[in-house]
Amino acid sequence: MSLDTADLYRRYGDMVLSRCRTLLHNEADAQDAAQAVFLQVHRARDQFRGDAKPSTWLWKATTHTCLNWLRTRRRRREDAVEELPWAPTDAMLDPVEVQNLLDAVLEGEDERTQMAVIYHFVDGMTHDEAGELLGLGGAAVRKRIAGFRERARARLPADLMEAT
Amino acid sequence: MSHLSTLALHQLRLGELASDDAAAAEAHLAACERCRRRADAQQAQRAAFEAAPVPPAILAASAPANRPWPRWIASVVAVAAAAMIGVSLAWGPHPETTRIKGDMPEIELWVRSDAGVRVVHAGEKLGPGDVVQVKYATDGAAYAILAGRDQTGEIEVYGEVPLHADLAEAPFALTLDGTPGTQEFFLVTGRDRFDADAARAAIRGEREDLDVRDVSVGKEPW
Repeated sequence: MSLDTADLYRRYGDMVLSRCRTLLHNEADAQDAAQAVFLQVHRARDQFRGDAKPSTWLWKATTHTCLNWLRTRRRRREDAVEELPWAPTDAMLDPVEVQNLLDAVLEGEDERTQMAVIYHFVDGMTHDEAGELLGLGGAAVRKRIAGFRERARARLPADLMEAT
Repeated sequence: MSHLSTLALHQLRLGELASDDAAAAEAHLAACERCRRRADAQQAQRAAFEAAPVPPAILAASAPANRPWPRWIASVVAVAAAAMIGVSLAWGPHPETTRIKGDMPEIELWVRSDAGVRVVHAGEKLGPGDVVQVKYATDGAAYAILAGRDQTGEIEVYGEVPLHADLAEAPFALTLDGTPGTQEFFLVTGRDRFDADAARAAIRGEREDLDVRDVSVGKEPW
């Protein structure tokens, strides 16, 4: 199966772009990151079987790309967060909460824990739903999130850390 | 009360949920104002997205029917390079390159032989009459120029090249003449259109907003 990249972009581009805006909170970075996702997908296009939903693997690929971006920003000590014009969000957290959460999870967690935290707190996935994307059971996801909560307790507001 | 995940909202909107899951999601939306607002936000993002053009780099990665460019005509440019002596191939990011986030543009050197076009290897001899072909990928850039520089140090801008997400041949081939020396090739890319002077400045390391990749063919002592 060979996907046409422009067709994929027309169908899923808004989903990928808005996710990049949510995680990167910078318009130019969001546009670049969204393009990078589709170009990476294009390069790997012969590897995709027809059974998985494009929305699912695009969601994973976008999360992974944005995490790389954020790690690069931290290494370069860039402060790239900018005032985006207010718009209603489809995320479960507002922009300030997202940034605080990302700061905490980028501090010392491994990538799968970072993704689990984002899927659960930002996207509102249950442990089982997050586990499906990560190839983990729901209990393993709960454990990773609990570990993160312990380590981030001092840095994040109590209501964010409520057991869900 | 647990809510629909952001991904589930997208999948519902796109018709990608199994019918049971879709029915459950619709039922939740009917009862949950917060998720209805999130779904409305996605509709608004969709409308704004549809009004914007597809980025050129994405169109370049697409099937030829999607591309708006005219055919390019190959032209041949005589170039000074190492002749009948060992050549070393050095390639990689130009020392003064600004790092681009994500994947990188690339440039490679190939040579035309009787068997077809193949990549030039380190230590290979190239001689007068050999035709070298530059292959390049512009990744996410919106505009790209190819240029060259021989041992005199003067930068020659060959011109704008079409965008390609995958490695593709430059629209012109270059024939080597007998003058010994070093020949470099540069791929200069940027987010906006830029001119030949800007390309030269970028090659000299003076432009942080443009990315430069280079490959060179030079002489090595026996």
